[in-house]
Parts: sequence; C-alpha cells; structure tokens
Amino acid sequence: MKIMRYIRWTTFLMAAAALLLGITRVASASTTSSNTGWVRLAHLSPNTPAVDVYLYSFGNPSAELVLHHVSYGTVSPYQALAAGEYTVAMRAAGAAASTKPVLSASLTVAPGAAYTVAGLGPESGLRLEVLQDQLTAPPGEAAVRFIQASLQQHAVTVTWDGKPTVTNLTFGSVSSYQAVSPATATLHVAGESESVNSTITLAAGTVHTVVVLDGPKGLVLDNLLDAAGSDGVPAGAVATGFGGTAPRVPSPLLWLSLIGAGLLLTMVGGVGVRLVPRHRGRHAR
Amino acid sequence: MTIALALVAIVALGAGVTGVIIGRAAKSPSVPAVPAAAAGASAATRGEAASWTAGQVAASAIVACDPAMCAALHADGLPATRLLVLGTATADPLGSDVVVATLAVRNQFGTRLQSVYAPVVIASFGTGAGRIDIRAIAPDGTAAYEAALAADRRSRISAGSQLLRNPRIIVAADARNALSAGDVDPRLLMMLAALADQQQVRITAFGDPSPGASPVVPLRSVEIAALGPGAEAEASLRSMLSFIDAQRQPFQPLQAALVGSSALTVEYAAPSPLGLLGSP
Repeated sequence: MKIMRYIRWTTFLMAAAALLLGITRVASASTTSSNTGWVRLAHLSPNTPAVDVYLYSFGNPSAELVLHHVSYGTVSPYQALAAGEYTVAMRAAGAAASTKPVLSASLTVAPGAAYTVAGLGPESGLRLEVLQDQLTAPPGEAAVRFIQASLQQHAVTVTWDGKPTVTNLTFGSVSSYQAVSPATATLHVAGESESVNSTITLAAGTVHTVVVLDGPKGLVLDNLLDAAGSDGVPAGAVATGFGGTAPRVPSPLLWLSLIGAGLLLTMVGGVGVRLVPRHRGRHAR
Repeated sequence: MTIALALVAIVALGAGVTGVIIGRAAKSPSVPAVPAAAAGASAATRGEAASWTAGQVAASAIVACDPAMCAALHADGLPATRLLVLGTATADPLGSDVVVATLAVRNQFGTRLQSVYAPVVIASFGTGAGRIDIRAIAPDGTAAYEAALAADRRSRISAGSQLLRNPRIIVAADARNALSAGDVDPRLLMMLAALADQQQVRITAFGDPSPGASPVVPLRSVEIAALGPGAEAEASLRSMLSFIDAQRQPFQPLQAALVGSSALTVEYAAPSPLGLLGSP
C-alpha cells in the first residue's frame, strides 16, 4: 500500500515538475524572443577561400555563434541571436588549430531586427559589411534588393519584368530594397560581357535579396527569401543550403521536448492514479 | 636615316620625361631643414612632441606639421611620405590625420584650427605660447566630427556596459567606471569580448599614454592580470597575447606584451577610430 502511494505521489510530482519546467522554459524562450534578432552570414568574395566565422557576444559568452567552412556563394540560414553587441572574427577554414581568428567587424543586434553579415569585395580588399535586412514589404507589393558579387563583371544592370530596376551596380556593392509589383517574371542581369535570365516569383508581401554570383559557366543568380509575411520574422531557410553550423542558441525543439515529456508524464501519472484504486478495489473484493 | 633620327628623338624625349618625373617624385615629400628655434617651442618640447607622435600615432596616419616640426618628426623616424608640410601658402591641414599644432600652425590657421579642422587635442606638451598640441583632424568638419564622436561614445557606453555583464570578465573598480562611462577605445572593447569568449579575463586598469589629452579621447591601453599564480595563469596570458598578436589592422595593437608572468598590457595607436561599433 505504502509503496503504491509512494509511486503515485512520485509520478504526480515528476509530471508536475516536468510540465512546470516545460512551461517555464517556454515562457523564458518567449521572453527571450522579444529580445532577439536574427543574423545570417554570406561569403560573397569570389577569390577568397572558405572561412570559419565567429561571433563573440560582449555580454553573454554562451550566445557565441560559430559557422564553419563558409565558402563563396554560401548564405547561412538566419540564426536567432540575443540582442546586443558582437565582435565578428574570421579564420581560414581548415587552418591549423593554433591559427587565431582575426577580428573583422562589430555587429549590433537590435531586438526584432535581421542582418546579413556579408564578406564583400576581392580577397585583397575583403571587408565584412553588416547589412540591415528588411522584413516587411509595402502592402500589396514585394521588396527586392541586389548584391553584386561577380568579380568577372565589374558592374551589372538589373531588369525585372522588362523594367530597369538597378543600373551599374558595381562589384561588392549592395542596392537598397525596392518595392516592385508582385509577379512571376523574368529577372535579367547584364554585365559587360555576360548576362543571365531567370524566371522568379516575387509574391506580394515577400522580401528578397538576389545575389549575382560568378558560376562555373557564367553569371548565376541566387534568390534569397528574406521574409515572407507581415509578422516581421525572417524566412527560416534559404535555397543555397548551408553546412557546419554550430549555434549555441537554444533550439525550440528543447522546449517542445520538455513540454512533451511533461504531458506524457502527466498522462502516465493520471492513468496510474486512476488504475491504482481499481486494482485496490479488485484486490479488496 | 629619318627613322633612326626619330627613334633617337623619342628615346631622348622619354628619358627626359622620366627624369623629370623621378626628380619630382623624389622632391615632393621633402622635409625642409629649418632652424629649431624658429617656431616658438623649446627644443625639449618639440622633442617630446616628436617622440610621442612617432611612437603613438598610427603607422598609417599622415601628420601635418610646420617645417621645423616636420624636421623633428623626420629625425625621430617618420618617413617623409607620412608628413604633410604646412608651408605659409598651405590653405588647410586637410588630407592629414593629425596635425601638430605649434605656435606657427596656430598662428597660420587661427581659430579655424579648432573650430573647423581639428577640434580635439589627443596629446599636449609644454605650456603657454610654446605649447604643442597634437590634434585629430576632422575630415568632414567639426560638426560632423563631434556628432560622430558623440555617437561613438554612446556605442562605447553600451558596449562597455555589456562587457560588465559578461560573467567571464572581472573588472577592477576604476576600470569598471571607465567601461560604464564609455571611456574605453572601441578596439579594446571588441578585443576583450573575443578574449572573454575563450577564457576568463581580469581587467585591472585602462590607461592612455597621452599627456594633456581632451577628456573625450578614449583610453587606448589595458592591463590584464593573471587569474592567479602559477604556470596555468601565465599560460592563459600567453594564449591571450598569441590571439592579440595574430590580429591585423585596425585591430593590431601598437604594442602588446607580458609584464613578467603576472600581467599583460595592450596598447592601441592614436587617434582612436570612430564608428567601429554599431549604434546601440
């Protein structure tokens, strides 16, 4: 009898604790999210070898972000980061462990804001530029900007749906966002000696960054979806793919797992509680 | 025959033009020899100012100076290519990064030196008329410079306050005040954040080897103490030094060295750059 009561109470307490822990963690996470921004990293320097990128938080060492083997044309997914100041450093991917990262720039993450930290220019003049990303488009329109990361073409001119959109965008530079009419249409990018056409969809309410890259056979366009709604949250993933991320930002899966564990234990505990008297009743008969 | 003459003429002309270009190039950054007593300051004050400028100002910076001061700087090791000689006909010191304001330079530009070209003193030597100020140039004018300086201070206050919350950074009381007041050079702030990511950092003091500097000039040096006695603490300092030594401009310090086995000092060059940190 005492053993069964002990088991029952233990089950109750564990279930309650797990559920409480889950709820607390979610509350904490949602509090954190109001003080969170988003950062993605882009390697857009054609003749610069792959790099590892480090973001060192001024106030919270556990908020450090490390991205390994970022190579030309790679754009990471947005990573949630606590708002605050960061030092950005780089080191050559695959360098000896004794090779120290080189400080390159600083980044101020504001709550709710999104940034692209982009390596731009040629290797000899590589610079890290912090671009503020737009997360909403004007009502009924799409927003798009362009990054010229082709070393083969000094400058490019962009035409969207037959209309000139950006002219003479020079290597290593970034246009401002422009509002355009939503459509599925041809994006035409022309340099001095090469051009490329791509049919893309710019839906109403979406925000895009189109990167002009050097490909093995000429110009290549990378259409990045920065945001796809009015919630002011950046789109989660990009088509370019990304490897080697090692964020220390807590994953929502952790909190969901805790909630799941709490609910499961509650159910088990509840069933146990309901079953025990029946057993007792049966035994009593 | 005609072709041969033409070729000789072309070669001769080319040689002449080359000679003129080489001659101009060799002469252009020349440092005139001027009697030391000509510009008001004592030789000792001029020597102090020259020595400080040669030792503390960034190696990439162009220094504007009157002929006597330029000669002293050249003698102290500054190459002629880094000197902008302010002749009597020079309209302004723009194009340089710092100006050495001797009496001659102050007389030449009058109140415009402070109100238009170079509002902030980053170091000062001597007194009275013989005083020599080293001033940071405001390339876009005083108003823009002071606005940038104020914005930079706000960023330094924010960044310093965040470092104070970093559990891996232990800060002595005076150094704590400097961080929270935004008095610390942004290069040091960024470096400290990176160092603290790897190990615990104990900051004992910030400093600035700039006599007579304006209060708005950030502190460019830091002393980091070992976290205890023994080989492990010294190894930690050596690891930090190795990280610092690997940096490139603008994060490569003027000097970084161990003080025995108990401390590490890091010092950045003057003037402190503006705008390295983002807006809070």
